[in-house]
Amino acid sequence: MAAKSTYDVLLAELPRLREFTRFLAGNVEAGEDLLQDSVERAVTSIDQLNRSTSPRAWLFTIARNRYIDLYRRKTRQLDDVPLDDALETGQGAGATFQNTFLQDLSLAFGRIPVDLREVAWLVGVEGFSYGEAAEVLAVPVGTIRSRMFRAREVLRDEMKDYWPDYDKEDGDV
Amino acid sequence: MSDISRPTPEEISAYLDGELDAERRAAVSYYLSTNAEAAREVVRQQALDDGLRALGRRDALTDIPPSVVAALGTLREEVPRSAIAQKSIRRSHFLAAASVAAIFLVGVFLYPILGRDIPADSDITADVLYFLDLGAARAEFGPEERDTIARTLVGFDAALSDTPRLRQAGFTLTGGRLIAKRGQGAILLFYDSLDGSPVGLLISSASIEPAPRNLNTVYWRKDMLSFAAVGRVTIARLQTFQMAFENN
Repeated sequence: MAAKSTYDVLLAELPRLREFTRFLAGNVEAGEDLLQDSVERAVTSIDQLNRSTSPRAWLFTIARNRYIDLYRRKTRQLDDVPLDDALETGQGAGATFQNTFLQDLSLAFGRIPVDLREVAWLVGVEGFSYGEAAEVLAVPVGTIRSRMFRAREVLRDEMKDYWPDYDKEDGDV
Repeated sequence: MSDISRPTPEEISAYLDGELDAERRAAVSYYLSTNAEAAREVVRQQALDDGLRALGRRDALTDIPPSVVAALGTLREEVPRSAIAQKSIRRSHFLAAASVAAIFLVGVFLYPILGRDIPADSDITADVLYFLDLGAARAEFGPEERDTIARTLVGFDAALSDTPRLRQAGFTLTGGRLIAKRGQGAILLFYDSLDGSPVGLLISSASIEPAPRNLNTVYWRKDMLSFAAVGRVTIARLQTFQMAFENN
C-alpha cells in the first residue's frame, strides 16, 4: 500500500484534535482558536516530526503545549478552569444529553483532578495507548497506567448511585 | 487457577484498555470468568467507558473549519493518497456486487501465485481507520445491499449474513465498501456502536498476520476467511464485537 502522506495522516486526526482542544480550552470558541493555532504550529514545525514519533501523539503534544503557553499561564492552577466550562467541553458543540446518566457522568468527570482527567480523556475518549498518552503528557507509561486506574476509581465512586449493589470493598476486586 | 494470579484493580483497569500482555490478559479473562463480582465491576467500568466516549462524540470531518484545513493544506504537496479513497463513491446495488465479485474472482486465481503474506496487518488497521474517519463518504453500499452481495460472493455469504447478536451488542451495520489488496478481494463493513464510534470489519480471503500489539484491531479466522475488527474503541469493546459476530 502506498504510504499515506503527512497531510492525510494529520487531516484524519483533526476531529479528535478538535475534541481535545475543546476539552483543554474549556469551551467551544476557545477550543476552535486553539485548534487553529495548533495546526498552524504543527505545519511550521513539520520538520520536527520524525518517523519514530506517532504523528497523532506529536500533534496532540503541540496542542497541549500551545494550550499551556496561551491559556494555562493565565491562571495560577489548571484547576482554576471553571467547572461549567469544562463540562461544556465534555458535551461538544451543539450536543444534547440524552439521559441523566451522561449528564451525571459529565458532572463527575468535571470534578475529578485535572491530571487524572487528562489521562481519562486521552485514553478513555480518544483511544490513545498508554504509550501515546505518556508521550503527549511527558510522563512515564506507569504514571498513565496508575492515573487511568485512579480516574476510573474516582468516577466509579462518583457514579455509585447508579449501582445500588455497588460496594467500594467489592469494587476493589 | 490459583489465587496467585488474582489481578490487582490496576491490572483490571489496564485490561480494559488493552494494555496487558497476552499472558496476563488471559489470566485476567479467566479470573473474570470465575468471579461474578469482579465481572460485575468490569461491566460497571465498561458502562463508564462507553459513557465517556459518548461525551466526546466527535463532529464529522467535514465540519472542521475550512481555515484549519487550509492551514494544513500547505502539506498537501506530498504524495497524495489514491483518488479512489478520497472521493465518495456510491454505486448501484448491481455495480457494487459485481465489482466485489470481480475482484474476489481475480483474487481466487491470483492467490496461489501471490502467496499468503498479504495484506499487511498495520496497513489493514491504517486503511480501515482511514475509511472510518471519512464519515458519510465511507460507504460504497448500504446495509440493504448486504444480501445482494452475500448471494454474489461464494465463500463470503455466511460472513455477510444477518447478525442479530451484533445488534444486541449495540453494533448497527451502516454499510460497506470493497477493498482490493494486490488482487485480493476484501470486504469492509461499517458498524456504528452505541456511543457513535464506528467500527470497521474487514473480511478477507487472504491471511492477515496480526500485529503483535495493535490496540485498534482484533483478529480472528473462520471458515477460510480472515477477519479484522478495527476501531478507535477499547480492545474490550472490539472483543465484544468479535464474540457477538462469532456467536451469531
